[in-house]
Amino acid sequence: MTSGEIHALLTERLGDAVSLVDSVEYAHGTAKRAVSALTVELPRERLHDAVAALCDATSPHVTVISGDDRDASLILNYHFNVGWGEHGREVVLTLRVTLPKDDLSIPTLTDLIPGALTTEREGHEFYGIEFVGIPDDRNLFLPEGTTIHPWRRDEAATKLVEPTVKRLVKWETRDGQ
Amino acid sequence: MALPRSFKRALWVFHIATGSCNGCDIEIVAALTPRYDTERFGIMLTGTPRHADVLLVTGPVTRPMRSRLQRIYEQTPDPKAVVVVGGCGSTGGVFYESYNIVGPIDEVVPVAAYVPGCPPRPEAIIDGVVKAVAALEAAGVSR
Amino acid sequence: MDNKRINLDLETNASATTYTVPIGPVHPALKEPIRFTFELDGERIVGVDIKPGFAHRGIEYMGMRRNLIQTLYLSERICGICSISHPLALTQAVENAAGIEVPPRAQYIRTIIGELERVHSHLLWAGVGAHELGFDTLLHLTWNVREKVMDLLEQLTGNRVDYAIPIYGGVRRDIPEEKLHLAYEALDYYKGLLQNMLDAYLHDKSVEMRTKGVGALSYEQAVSLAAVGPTARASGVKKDVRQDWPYFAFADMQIEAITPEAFGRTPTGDVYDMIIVRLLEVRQSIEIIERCLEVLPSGELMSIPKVPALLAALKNAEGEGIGRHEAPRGEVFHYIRLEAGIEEPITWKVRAPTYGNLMSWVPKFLGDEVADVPIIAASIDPCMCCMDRAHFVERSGDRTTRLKSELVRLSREKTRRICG
Repeated sequence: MTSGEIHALLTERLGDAVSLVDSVEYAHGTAKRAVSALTVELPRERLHDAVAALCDATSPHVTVISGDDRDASLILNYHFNVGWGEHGREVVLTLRVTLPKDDLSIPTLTDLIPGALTTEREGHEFYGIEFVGIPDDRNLFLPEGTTIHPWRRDEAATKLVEPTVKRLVKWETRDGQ
Repeated sequence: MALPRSFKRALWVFHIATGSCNGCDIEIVAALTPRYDTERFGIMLTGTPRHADVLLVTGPVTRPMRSRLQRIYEQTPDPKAVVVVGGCGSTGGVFYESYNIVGPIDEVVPVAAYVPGCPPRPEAIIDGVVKAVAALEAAGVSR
Repeated sequence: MDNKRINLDLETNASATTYTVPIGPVHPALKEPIRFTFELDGERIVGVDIKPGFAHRGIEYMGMRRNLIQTLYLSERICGICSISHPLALTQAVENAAGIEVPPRAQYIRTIIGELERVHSHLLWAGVGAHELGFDTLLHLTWNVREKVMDLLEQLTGNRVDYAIPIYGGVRRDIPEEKLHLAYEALDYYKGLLQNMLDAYLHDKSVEMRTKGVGALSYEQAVSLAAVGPTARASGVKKDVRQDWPYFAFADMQIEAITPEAFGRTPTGDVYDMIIVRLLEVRQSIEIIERCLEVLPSGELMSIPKVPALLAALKNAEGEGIGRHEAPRGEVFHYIRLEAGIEEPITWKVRAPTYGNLMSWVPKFLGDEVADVPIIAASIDPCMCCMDRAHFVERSGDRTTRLKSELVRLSREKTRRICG
């Protein structure tokens, strides 16, 4: 499937809830052959439908969920690979949802793709997100009983460690602050 | 207490990784293989700390591994020597200021020899083990 | 749809005849600490739970507080066996985010060193697998053979592990004309040995009996559990980043994902299939390296040679980028987001291949025996693994603690039993 076909599939299923963020191509080698990546934004309630549409059409592979803490909200990027198995035709698809900080919950994808359990457990312990319906929400990498969420930027615990950027060159704008 | 003569004939080594990246661990195993072949000196990897003379420790100590490292150290009978392999065990290396890292290995157990490098070569590791045992002999007491 | 879903019952099948065996995290073998808890019915495994995290160092947390060049050297030390895989994916991600070009010669050199790393990693795994089966002779032979590629890596890059070759916009060291003969010598050495290795591993009766049918993973399970790398390919899933999303010099080639069908065998995902896939990939890597050396384009090595200029370009960069690389264990994925005016990356997410293969351990263990635990655990080539003392709690409440050496003895006795 190409980026255009994936976008069409999602638009057909979800209408104008889907908004295109970015469709890029990266060129490699002396032949400058291109590979594609597509990023699409959705409201959180429609994510499950979108992934169900993908599972009906093909076998998406869920890579990981990355997050971005933006003060009042938390952006989640669900990274998938769609269309593996054919030479150079795979697309890296990112589905972006925004969660408000006071209600960090989203339905689980493990009923569609059981392999998503690892990355959802990680998201639960590192960001404090509740994946509704997840079969197992114990901590995966952090010791049991840990209360901090290390990848958030607002938790007091993450401020315990001061930033340690070694500056090779003095930057006026930053150091002047 | 003088070291028993068996120390010169055979040295049994137990390896523990406290959260390392495996680079040093692979070089330790490479030291056993025919290119470097420590078994001709009688140095052998053993499966339990209770039979070990030397503890080879790698990795920056992560929080969950700290208590395990202490327990392994206590389970190893005297005379023993701890050899730290790698830069992250010696000083922390590239891993500093993380919420899950306790510190270099000498914050947790006393160390006889450090083998710096990221990772050190197998020859350096063998040299470190030999130096640790020589230090034990010179001290004449168990560590 | 139902055939794509499997019921992952992580609850223990609690009954009066099963007992729980926790294993780990400290163990004398070569892998990183990890904790398994097995539910056993006699010798059969009926349930397994996995708790990683003993080697969790908070790398992304540290990386988001350093400038990108420091993060590059940090990423190299995420894993020491696939030590160039993480920098290759990270440099791709940052170059895609910042719009930095990579000259063709640099792309080819990155590919060559990446494939050399695959050769050393697969030989390492093959030796460790043989050791878990009790076949120490093969461990020593394989690792002795592996020293040749370690020598070549040292001659080309300066170090046996952690080569520090990629940099944003290119590579740091060249492969000059006068060193090419070293590479050709090493490749000829391996080509001469390949058939011996295939015979020693795949046509040896004891290895066949210990690995065929052990730790099977079906095609549907591999797809729905999102397995990657040789773990997925051994089940027949034709998934390989070099084939599907070609990057660097692979864009000039047509790489095929290797499955057991290339050896004439129907894939079942068992340990024997894993051995087939990895050894055939060594042959594929040697062919790729030869092709790259033949057509190595001339030109510059870095698009931004001076470090302060590079730091300035990175500081002003804004955007998101994705980088992927087919590491020896599977797909490595890096996502990065940069903002103009800030040196540190705002978001950095790493997906190492073993995190993707973690869940495929569960169906592999179920139904097999305790004596097979070492080889199944090693079969997915984990960058974190297991095995110290097995703590057996008998029904009567007596506790016996057995050593890893005992588990390995069980494993070796099984070899003698079924081959005798």
